Amino acid sequence: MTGFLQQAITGLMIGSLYALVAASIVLVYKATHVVSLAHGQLVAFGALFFWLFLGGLGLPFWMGLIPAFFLTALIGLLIERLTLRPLIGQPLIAAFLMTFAIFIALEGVFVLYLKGQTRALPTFLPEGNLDISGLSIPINQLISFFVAILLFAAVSLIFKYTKLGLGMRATAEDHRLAQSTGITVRNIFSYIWILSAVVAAIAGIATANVMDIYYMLPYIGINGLIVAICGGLDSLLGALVVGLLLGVVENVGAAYLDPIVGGGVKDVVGYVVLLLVLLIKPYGLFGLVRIERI
Amino acid sequence: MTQNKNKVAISIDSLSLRFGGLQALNDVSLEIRAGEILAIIGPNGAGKTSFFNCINGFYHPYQGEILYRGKDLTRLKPHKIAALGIARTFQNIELFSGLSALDNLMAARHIHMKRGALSGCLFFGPTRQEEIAHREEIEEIIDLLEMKSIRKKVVGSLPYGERKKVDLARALCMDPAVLLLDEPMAGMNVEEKEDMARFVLDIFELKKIPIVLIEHDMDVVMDITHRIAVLDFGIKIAEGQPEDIKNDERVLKAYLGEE
Amino acid sequence: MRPCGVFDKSYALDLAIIRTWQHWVILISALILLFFFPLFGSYYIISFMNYLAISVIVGLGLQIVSGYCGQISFGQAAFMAIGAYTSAILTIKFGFSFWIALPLSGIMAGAVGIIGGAPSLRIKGMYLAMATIAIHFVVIWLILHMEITGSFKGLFPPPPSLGGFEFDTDERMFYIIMTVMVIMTYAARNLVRSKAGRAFVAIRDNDLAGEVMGVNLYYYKLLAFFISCFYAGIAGSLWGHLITVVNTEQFTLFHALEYIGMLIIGGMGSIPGVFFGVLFIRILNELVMFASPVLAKAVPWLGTSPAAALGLSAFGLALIIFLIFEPRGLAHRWEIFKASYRLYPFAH
Repeated sequence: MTGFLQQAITGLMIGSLYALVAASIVLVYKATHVVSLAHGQLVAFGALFFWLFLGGLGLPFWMGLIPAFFLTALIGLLIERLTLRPLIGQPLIAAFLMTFAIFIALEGVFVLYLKGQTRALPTFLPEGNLDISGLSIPINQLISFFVAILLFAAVSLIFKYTKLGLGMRATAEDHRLAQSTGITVRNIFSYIWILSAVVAAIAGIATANVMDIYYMLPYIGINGLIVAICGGLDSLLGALVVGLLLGVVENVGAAYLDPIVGGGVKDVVGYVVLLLVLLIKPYGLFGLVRIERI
Repeated sequence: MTQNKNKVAISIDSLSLRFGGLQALNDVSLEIRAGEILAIIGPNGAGKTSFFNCINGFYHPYQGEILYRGKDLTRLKPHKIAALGIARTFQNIELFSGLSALDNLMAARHIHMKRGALSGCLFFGPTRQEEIAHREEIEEIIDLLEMKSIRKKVVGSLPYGERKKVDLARALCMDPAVLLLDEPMAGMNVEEKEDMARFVLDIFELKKIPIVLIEHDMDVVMDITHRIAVLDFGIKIAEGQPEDIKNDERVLKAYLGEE
Repeated sequence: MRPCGVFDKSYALDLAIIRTWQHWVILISALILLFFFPLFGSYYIISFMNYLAISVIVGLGLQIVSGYCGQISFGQAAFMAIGAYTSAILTIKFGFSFWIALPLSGIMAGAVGIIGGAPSLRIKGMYLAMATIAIHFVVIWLILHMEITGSFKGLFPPPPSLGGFEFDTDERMFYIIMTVMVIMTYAARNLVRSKAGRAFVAIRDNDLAGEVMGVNLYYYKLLAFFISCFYAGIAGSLWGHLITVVNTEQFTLFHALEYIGMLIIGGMGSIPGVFFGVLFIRILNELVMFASPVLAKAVPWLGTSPAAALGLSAFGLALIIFLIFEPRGLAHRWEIFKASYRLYPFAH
């Protein structure tokens, strides 16, 4: 039982990262209805920038954090301005494919920068383990877990109680209607991409805190996308719940199934979960079901 | 055709449909007779399109049946119902926008074409002849609806009135036994409406099939239809000859509101 | 292609793709030229053309399911892998001849494709695209975890032979690959203008209206997936026997993205578009290969071997540019050219 709990808790920690990546994707979807894979790169570049300032230049924590956010937000803004805005009015699948194109183009830059090496963040969080009745949890992971939860709460509050949030929700509902009530939809698009890029950067830094930065890091974007879709794409709560669940299922599944099939279960669990969810509940576990009218 | 004009083509019996808390159709019974143009009228949201959607299988009502040639249509899939010979047009024109007008019509010959995909790959002998044979059928309808000039145009780029026409032609190309028209004259000017009314009458004369049409323009409805059914909030409130409907109190109430 | 002044006098003529005897002459001489090409082409060009032709076959399949039927699939690389592995296993472990293994691998990939296409019955658009990504990873994972597929090492299928003649060089394989490609192109071009092709487009443009016209959505969606994966399987088999090595490194998600990229650049819903897209992407990649050592020398920051990374970025950028400025792809340019050819020598 302790073994199971230990695996589940490790899974929760990883799951909170997935949830964060998914949250950044859900944010963009909520306002623009664009499903984005490009966030995988925002995550990776957020982590890379943070490493650059902290590890490369040796700046203190806060001095590294702010410019990392700023630069990642800039990439997000550029993606929105330069590539997605020209596609307004075209089918949404075009924007979806566009985010793949952005992913590939940025992946080239990322690989070019890393040149096959890995980068490890210097420790900036307290080390050591928290031991509770036989379970051990690394403190730095616990911190990023709580940061993730707090961030979810903050973003939900922004959406619910600020004027900006109201504008975003209105835009999500209907672009044209929002425009005609005086909301500048273009600005909303820019704000949402900035907000979502910052969330992605936090996800990247939290991820780099657990593992090294290497060329596969952007592919966490696919995991984020899986979580976002299973959660229903427009639901932040869905992203959180499914993200944590996926982390747990992956970890526990790997622990119990790996010996039977000979390893590698972790690589495929997410995809199997996605297929099952899409077949059973196509609009995700927390998503709105839309009726098609003719 | 020699069959009795009053023979029933489709008989709809106490049809009821619900979306969540909304009762879209409530116990609607109606007969569509073999030799008539039947109009279904009613205020917006009365359930007219839902009624069509039940007949051709988009919606499955929770109660009631739709009898056609001794078969109940309520549980069949739309493509099965299409194969039985029930064709329809759409309120918001649902064309295959990437195809030319001609290919839209050819696509409507789907149920009549027999050659499979493999022989389609070879496109030789019988397959080619089949294509040509169906092309000839289609050209007749193109002649009838006067759309020669738009034959090869991609329908996405056609003006509204022309697209409405393609929509009607496409339903006709299915060689239907019953034709359902969902607001064929919506958004048209007087001239186009007159053309469309003429086409509907031409089709009725030529094909001798029952036509059911949903329409808001009362002048047209009074002019060309034989019988009218009125829906309001999912309930059939009246049915009868145009003259009777014109003076029916409940209908006036539904349209003009209560005094 | 219809030059100015040529009119259709019958419906049969209107159906024809090739309308004048000049076109027939051009087509036949182009085919003859193609088959005598190994006599004077260099080894580099020959192997590059083999690569192109195999990509074209995969692309044709993807065009049918994604371009015509509108079901965006990122699974094409995985289905190619199924074809390659099936063919390798049949020839190595069961001693089948290549000539039987080739169609069987297509059918095998097609059969798996029907299972892989099953989600399309319930979901569409972006949801389906994600499902096919999931299918890609599940298929590759299964291949890696099976005994018969040689796991990480992969398999080494023999080159095909016919009556003692070994097709063991790129020049010799050229004939098989080109023949298959020409047949597959002919079949695809005809398929999309027949009943099934129109049903596919009906599903793409307006699936509900298609159903009202009597198109059985389930049947035609699965048919599209079967045909698409059949093409991928055939291409995979050819690929395996051409380079006589099959492993999962050759069939990554990136390859699947590349095929979708070819369609975007070449033009969705167009058979010539497949050729344009394949040519564009492959030539772009070759250019990057040639240019990157020069660039690396000029800009030391790039490191010693930037080819792979630069290739990624170039591909991504090309896609972005096409999506913004020419979403209908090169095929649209081709249509414009054909329209002006039809009117030549008049301007309008």
